[in-house]
Amino acid sequence: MDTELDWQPDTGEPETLRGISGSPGIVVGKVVVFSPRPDGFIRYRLEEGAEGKEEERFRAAAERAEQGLLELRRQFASDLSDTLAIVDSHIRMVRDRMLFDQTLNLIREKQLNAEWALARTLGLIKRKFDHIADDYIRGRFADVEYVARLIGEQLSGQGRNFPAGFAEPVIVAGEDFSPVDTIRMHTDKVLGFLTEKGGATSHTAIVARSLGLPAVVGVSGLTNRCRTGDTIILDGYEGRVCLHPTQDQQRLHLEYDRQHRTFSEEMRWYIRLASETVDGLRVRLSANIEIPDELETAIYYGAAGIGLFRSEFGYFQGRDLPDEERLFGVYRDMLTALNPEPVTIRTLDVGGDKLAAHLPGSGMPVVRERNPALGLRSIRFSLHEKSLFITQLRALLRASCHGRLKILLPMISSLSELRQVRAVIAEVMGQLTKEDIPFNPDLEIGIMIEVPSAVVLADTLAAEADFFSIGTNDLIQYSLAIDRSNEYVAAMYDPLHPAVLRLISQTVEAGHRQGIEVSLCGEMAGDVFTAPVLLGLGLDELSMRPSAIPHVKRLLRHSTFSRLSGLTKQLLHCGDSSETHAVLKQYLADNYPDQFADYEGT
Amino acid sequence: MSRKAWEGRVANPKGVHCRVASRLSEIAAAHDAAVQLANAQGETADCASMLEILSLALTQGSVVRCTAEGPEAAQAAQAIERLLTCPEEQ
Repeated sequence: MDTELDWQPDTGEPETLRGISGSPGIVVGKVVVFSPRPDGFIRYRLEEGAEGKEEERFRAAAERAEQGLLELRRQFASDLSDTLAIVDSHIRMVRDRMLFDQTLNLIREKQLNAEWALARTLGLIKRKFDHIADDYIRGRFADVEYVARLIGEQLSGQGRNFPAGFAEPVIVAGEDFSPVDTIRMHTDKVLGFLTEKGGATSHTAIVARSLGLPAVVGVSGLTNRCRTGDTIILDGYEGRVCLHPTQDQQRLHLEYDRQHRTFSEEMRWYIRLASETVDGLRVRLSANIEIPDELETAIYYGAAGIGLFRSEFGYFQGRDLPDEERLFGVYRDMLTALNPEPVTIRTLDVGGDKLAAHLPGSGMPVVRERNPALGLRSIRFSLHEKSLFITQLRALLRASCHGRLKILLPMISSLSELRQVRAVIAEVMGQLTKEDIPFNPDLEIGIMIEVPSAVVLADTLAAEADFFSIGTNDLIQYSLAIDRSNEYVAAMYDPLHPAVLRLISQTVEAGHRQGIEVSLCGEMAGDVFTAPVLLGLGLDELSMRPSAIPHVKRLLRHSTFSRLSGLTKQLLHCGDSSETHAVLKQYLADNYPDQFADYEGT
Repeated sequence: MSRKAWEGRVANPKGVHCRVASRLSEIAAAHDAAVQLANAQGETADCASMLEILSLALTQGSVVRCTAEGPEAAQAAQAIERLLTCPEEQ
């Protein structure tokens, strides 16, 4: 959409912005617009009347920062008077009127959130200090910065603090939200997500779907036209946003949402039924989760295990790298809760750049990469940062006694990589045996199939892996050379591309020839339009966002494997996306006339 | 209400850095008096704020003016004078 041509003055009249549906559902509510944050401080304007609460939040954070410094002071021996004097001066700075009162003034008078007010205050102090000619005194600004950072960490560094200062739950809007942002959001207070960038498979959309909250993504011009405090309608079914809606429009949208939800209620019937076709083909339907809190949702929707736990969560939560005990606790609790169902935990799947940026003091190498998607990430990063990897493996192996653990290795692109990892695991097992710490020596170690080379070599890899899990989100990106977060080419990202279907088919066949199970955990597993195709391809397990499980199960229970594999045979002969879409459309109309009467393709 | 003022030069070789500023603000807080400091350029700072004091950029030998007002103005002004202008107090 061309924002220049589309731009209209803010007249308060109803106006519709178009984007991409990120997650279904409709909500009407107030929006909070998050501004970009170059220094890590999140910025947004407060709702009218919320200043008092925000001031309180700042006071409380300053109080905690002060307590932290007092604690630090107690730890020093009294003979270190020089150090004590520095800590004392930091303690005094917390309440200094230039820092403390000025921040409170900005919250009160400019309606800035506390982080923003603090960042601006720091900027004002810096400007004053910059004028000081004396190097030594000017250099003391570093102390002011340190104290401000301590307060800032108390404001936003711990737990889920956003959005704060709003009486009612709100719709959060911004350019895009990172995994760290969403983890820190207090999701009880979020009605829905709205972003200017990204597509249906962007991180914000994935998180919104797993939380069951509506989201619209890729709305260009959004942050210019939406103001904090505006009431908007967020339509996650259609990918639309309505600014300044009339009462009638609000009522209509909520009614439409109610109808959709009623349909979801009917789906609950399927939660306790077996996941098998009329002619007896059983497929395991499991859940993808990002945070341990989602386990409950997964169980609620009848997940037969966790097909993918993205273990990055534990690494982006605090200010330090998680230690073995903390990771062990998380893994053990998950395994215990689901025992005897399997829990598949993927080892750290992150670019080194992201982790280094999040943990500046951790000593992680900062690698400037021209092409991070092809760079030091995922299993490559783990093998490079071996001590970090060993910590995670120790925690995993120790947890393996508490249920059925499957370790999943991301981004394997060659056999030697798998062998290297197996060697590290053997080393860790040796350590644990020596230390007399119990673990399950027969736990399953599988690999993600998400790099084209892994598909080509699937037969070789299947001989040494215990299971395969196809990650279609990345496999599609890597095989079609599409960056799904690039709005210009995102439309070419097609799960039904014949090349993608053949890659999946080859992987399944190679796995089955070696007698190992093949699972699929991409977005397409939870899409009722593409799920029949996957079922026909013979996958043993589909792992998806929890709320999609009853929908896919319903579809499965109304299908026969003979027809599904007939569909697949036809699809594998197609040479172009237009053909695969036409074949699928015909199949759905013939076999499920009620459900897919008006299906127009994904 | 009493008022007390003095003018002098900073004795500390490093000038008024964090530690001195912190102690100055402690003295101001401990006395029932409003204390203001000013540098040669006429910029002023509330003595209760160490950051304002720091931004006066008081280096060794620079002129400093102090004005205290309130019931304990005399004691406050005297304690501050001792800290700022006597080398042995640094």
